[in-house]
Amino acid sequence: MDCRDIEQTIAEGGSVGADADLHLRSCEPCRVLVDDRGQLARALGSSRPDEPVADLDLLGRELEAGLGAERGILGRVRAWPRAARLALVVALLLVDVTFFGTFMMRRDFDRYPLWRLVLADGVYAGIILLATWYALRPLYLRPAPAWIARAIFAGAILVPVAFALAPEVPTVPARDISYVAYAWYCFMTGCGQGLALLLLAPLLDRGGRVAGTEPLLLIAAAGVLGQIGLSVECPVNYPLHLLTGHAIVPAGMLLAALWWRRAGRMSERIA
Amino acid sequence: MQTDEQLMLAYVRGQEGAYRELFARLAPVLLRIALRQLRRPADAQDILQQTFLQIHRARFDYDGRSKLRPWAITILLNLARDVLRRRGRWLESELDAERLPAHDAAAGRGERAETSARVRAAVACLPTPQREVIELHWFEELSFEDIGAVVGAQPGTVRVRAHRGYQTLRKALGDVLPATSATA
Repeated sequence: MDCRDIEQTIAEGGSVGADADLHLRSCEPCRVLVDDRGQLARALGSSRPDEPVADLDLLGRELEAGLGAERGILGRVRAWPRAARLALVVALLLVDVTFFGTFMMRRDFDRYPLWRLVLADGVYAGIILLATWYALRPLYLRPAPAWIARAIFAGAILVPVAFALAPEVPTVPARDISYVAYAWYCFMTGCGQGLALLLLAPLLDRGGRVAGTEPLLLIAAAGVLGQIGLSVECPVNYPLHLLTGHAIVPAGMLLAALWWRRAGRMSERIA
Repeated sequence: MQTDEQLMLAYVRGQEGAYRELFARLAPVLLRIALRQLRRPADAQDILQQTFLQIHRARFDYDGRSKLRPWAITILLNLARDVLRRRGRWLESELDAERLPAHDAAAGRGERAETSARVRAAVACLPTPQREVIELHWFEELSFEDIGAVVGAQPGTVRVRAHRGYQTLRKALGDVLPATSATA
């Protein structure tokens, strides 16, 4: 006998025999129901809600019409497995590094420690892929534990700050640089690169999650993507510039997204 | 007759009719769950369509090894959670009888209907983990193993939640189940 047999028997007013003993020894919920002489089981069994009132045929027809829009390239790519869609992000990373490395390589490249560049970009790439992986978590899985998203947000915001505060490598004379103007330029360049990932989002994301942490994880990934191109392009190594022009990109994009979401909720409630 | 899982695999292979059959089978179940979660019929219907859209988008992820019903219910519950977040949590525990036409239909059937309404209300007041388990088990006839797949917990944990939920219900329904309260 299993749970269902026992529940059915006692809900119908019957009593369970010796063949249920083995199951009852290991199943606490069934024991409660049996000890209860089936009262609760009967009450629950007879309390199933009625069928909801809805025109399912109409809903089905509307759904089929909606599925028609899924036949294009967007629909096909969105149906790819998560790893395949993540590969698109890897491709974007490679394009980003190749573009900046080819056309806008930092002018102190021959003097700047290569290991530092590789380390920073490697860590950034790791955060981007991790953030995107969790942002694209399929809906048929339960949400990931909240600490994972928190750790990714912390990494996306604090790791660029940590790199900015690392001992500086003065490869470019300070007098050559206008910190403020250059910081603004770097901030905009970083956000622009992040925008490239967000433009890719309709291909990557299957939708359905608007209010959770997943869309914000994608924003965090976009902000960190900005760090990669900047580290390849910008020769200014002074912490103040790195903080105000580079490290601020993920935090700035996340703050903008939070503000946008809050404003959206407000207008939804007013409507 | 084909199982839900066989139908889903047929759809993945390109049989359009299989999807219609799946909709006919799963939609009533999913709509009931959506309505219990969201209270508002319009939102519940929207979530139902969204769920099937997401099933379509995730069709190639489905390998036939897991049961389809818990798979679909997990999608629906995730979507419902998102709607509740958007609305603001204050509505989550609101029980607005005017927005529950299916439940209203039972209201005119005398004492038995009243008892059923009390039982459903008591279930609705349970803590979410216990409520989910009891609703899915008793109202949607999912086994504890399948519920484990939906709520992301081991069957043992699901049983513990059911056990606690039953005990809470016994206390809450003491006057509705008088014969038992004497024995409890």
